[in-house]
Amino acid sequence: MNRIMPYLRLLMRRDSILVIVITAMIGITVIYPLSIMVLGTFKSTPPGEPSPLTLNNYVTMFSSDWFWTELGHTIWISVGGTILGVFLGVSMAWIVTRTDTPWVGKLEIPLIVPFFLSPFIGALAWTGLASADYGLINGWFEALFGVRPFEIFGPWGIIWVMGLYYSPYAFLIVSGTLRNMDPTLEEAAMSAGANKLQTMLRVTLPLMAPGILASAILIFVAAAEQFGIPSVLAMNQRWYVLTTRIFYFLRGYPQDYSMGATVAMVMLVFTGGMVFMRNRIMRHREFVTVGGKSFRPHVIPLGKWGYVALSYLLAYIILSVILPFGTFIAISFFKFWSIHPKMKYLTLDNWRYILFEYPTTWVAIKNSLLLSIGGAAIAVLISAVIAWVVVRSKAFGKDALDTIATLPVAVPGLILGVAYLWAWIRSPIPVYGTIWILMIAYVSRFIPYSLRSIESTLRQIDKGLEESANISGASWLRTFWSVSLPLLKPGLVAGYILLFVTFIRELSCSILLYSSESVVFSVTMFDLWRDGMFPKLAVIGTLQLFITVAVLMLFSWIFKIRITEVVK
Amino acid sequence: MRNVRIEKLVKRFGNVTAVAGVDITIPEGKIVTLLGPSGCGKTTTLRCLAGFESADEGKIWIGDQLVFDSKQKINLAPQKRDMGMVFQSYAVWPHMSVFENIAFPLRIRKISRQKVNELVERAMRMVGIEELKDRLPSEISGGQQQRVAFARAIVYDPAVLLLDEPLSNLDAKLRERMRFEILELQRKIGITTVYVTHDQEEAMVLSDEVLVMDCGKIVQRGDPEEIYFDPRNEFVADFIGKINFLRGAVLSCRDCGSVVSIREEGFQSEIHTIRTDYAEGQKVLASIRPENIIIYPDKPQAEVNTWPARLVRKNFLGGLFDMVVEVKGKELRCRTPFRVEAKIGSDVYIQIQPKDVLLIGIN
Repeated sequence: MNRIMPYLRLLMRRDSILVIVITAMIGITVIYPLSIMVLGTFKSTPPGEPSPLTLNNYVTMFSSDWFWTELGHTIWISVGGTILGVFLGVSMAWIVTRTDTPWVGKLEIPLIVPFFLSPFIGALAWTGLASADYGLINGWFEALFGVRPFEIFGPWGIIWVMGLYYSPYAFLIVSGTLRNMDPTLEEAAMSAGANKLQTMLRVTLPLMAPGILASAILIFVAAAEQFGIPSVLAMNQRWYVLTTRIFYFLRGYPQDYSMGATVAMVMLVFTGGMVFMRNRIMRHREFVTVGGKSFRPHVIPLGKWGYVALSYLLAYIILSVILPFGTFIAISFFKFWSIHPKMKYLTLDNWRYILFEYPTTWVAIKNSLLLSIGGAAIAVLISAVIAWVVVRSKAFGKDALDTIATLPVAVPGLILGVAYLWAWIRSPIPVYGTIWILMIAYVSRFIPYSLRSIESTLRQIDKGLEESANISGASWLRTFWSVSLPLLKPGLVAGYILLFVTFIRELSCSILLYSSESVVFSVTMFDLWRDGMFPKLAVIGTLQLFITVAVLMLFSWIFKIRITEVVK
Repeated sequence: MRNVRIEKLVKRFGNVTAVAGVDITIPEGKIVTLLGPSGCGKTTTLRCLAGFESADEGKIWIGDQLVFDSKQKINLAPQKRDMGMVFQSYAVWPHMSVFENIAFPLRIRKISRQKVNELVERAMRMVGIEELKDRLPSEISGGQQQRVAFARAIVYDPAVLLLDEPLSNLDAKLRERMRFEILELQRKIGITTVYVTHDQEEAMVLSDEVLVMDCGKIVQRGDPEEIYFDPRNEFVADFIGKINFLRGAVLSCRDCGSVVSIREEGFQSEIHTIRTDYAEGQKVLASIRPENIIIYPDKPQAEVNTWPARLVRKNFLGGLFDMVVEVKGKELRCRTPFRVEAKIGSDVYIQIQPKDVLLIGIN
């Protein structure tokens, strides 16, 4: 008994209880559904019905043609999207941080705007630009040269859209690396006799390598688990990737929950493996390159080439933001969108219909706002508590908590949706089909993102600040409320905004879990797209866009924070 | 090994003139220190010499080679100047092993594999890090990284060695040891060296010649003893070591010495010195180092430069007493290694020998 007492006492401490409660919560919302899904891969019946365990699903899948073809497709678009995204991101990061390209300072914010935009809308908008049937750019080319050179539908279109909208990940990571790099590391190479090219190849580039690798893996995983882009750009063409195949199994006819789960299992192992690999690589390759007194990094004078670099950056902004989103908004005012849009088709009917007649609109707006504003708040609150326990307390099992809370990073949204279907579609708890299942899915899936931003802020706050509150008599809770929380504000706001923009555009989780009462923006757009009502979905998308911008502006005004700080 | 000449170097950053017309000559094989407070332009001067900043005016020669000339628009790239440099942050490349770091300059120079091994081994032996050969920079200490940076800077036998506050990130004990090691190493290879520091002790220990810089100008140059015992202006006197100033004017000046009338508020007296640098009527600062003020409990026999005083503060620093005495409202700092029995607040006498009174002319 005496031996157990110290352990018991440790377990009974308030922070230990907190650890247990949060761990249990994540267990129920992530690990339990995933386990049920894994079990489902060994069953031949839909969720909730008894079935002998069998390996048939795996046998069928691995011996089928479609699986290998679509695995190949997934790898193809992921590799392509990664190459394009990393190339765009790294080249722009280098131009912005290391050259004297004109106006570069003014372009930094526009360059990260795509980070906040929905790639799903990006894909929809790009069909209006580069579809062979009704793409605007094809229209321009036809008028000039008599050909329609582009076709956005298909793998190349997917790679193009992914590259455009995922390049900010590489841009942000690599420009951070380049900015923080101690310039004397490069100067040392020069004084040792290396010229600019040798310095670049043998010192700068190797020092950038961990950042490039990290962003490549990040983009690769994001591309592989993408559902919105390949569903818009290839599903109607019957060109499937693993995510759209899972959707097909669960929402097509005939439904096959077990095969859906089995393919989802493959994806889970795949993304899990990538995330694990990334963590392994990063642990060994993270270079601390921040030096002592810092002179500004060496800027390469580009001369006339500066304008070429400037055009490159501008072209990126035009192709990723101005052209697609301008077109998208324009489409919402047309009766028909065609390769040569005619003025006589200009109309407000779409807007009138969506705002006043379409029954789903206001439900979607209400749900999306509740989920994004409320869900982000809940997620940030939980993350703040987890971060505090992990960084500051000596609670029992806090490292395990950190690992478990970060685990959902490796679970693609669509796969979490599959798991939730399996776990709760026949559950006695009446959560399936309500907005709350979406809320739980969003929060548990995306806690790792806000957790990371809050944890890193907390690690930078000197522990003494909290200890001096303790010593002057403040309780544990009071210290958190009056000292830690205000100091954490930048991290909290950054985490909140990040989750807000993620939640308001969420598609891949919602698409499997929504009902007519719990529709959200992206799901509504997806449905309208399947019904072939492009101009009407453009209205919904435009609404989503404007609401996002309005809330972000409101937020940056209330909390006096610049949006660019969010992505640091 | 070559000499270095810098002529009328000027460097501006926007409206700020960081270096305002600096002339430096460093003879072959000598070690010269640029000493000054932060922002005095010493690092900028070094960076102009290295080629990382291009100066606005002036010329720089290394040996017979003109490497920089603002008028002829000559500005040799850093890698063509044949210099070795050690940075404050060491700048040891984190992605290369110790060996690869040191071998880098040789590989750039396309030196044969065998020769590379030989030269790197020799450099590592010289700085005493043979056993670290295959380690990564993240696996060695700051002091060891510093040695790697050093080995890397000398391995290719450059004409000039530039050291930019190389010791300022080390802890006090190691710093003291490294001073002597650097000096020993420099003597052994006999390389022309420019050393930038804000630490006067470092400058004293290391230099053949010290150049004291302030506001982008060289305010005094000389060997370390000269700089300490014969400062030419208020800034140098104050910056190097500690000193007391007594404001006054030269009353009389003869061959054997001068008399200065002290015109401090409250403290009006005459002080004798053996210096004869200034003519009668010149306003001067009579400057006395703390260790040259002698404290007596009773009135000493000598009459000259003797005043009654009161002990205001006494701190024992271990091996040294640091005190403040007050003479008619003027506080003077004194130091002595001998035991002082007098208590704080007690009356004492101070005496200063005429040979220890320096004169610095002021306007």
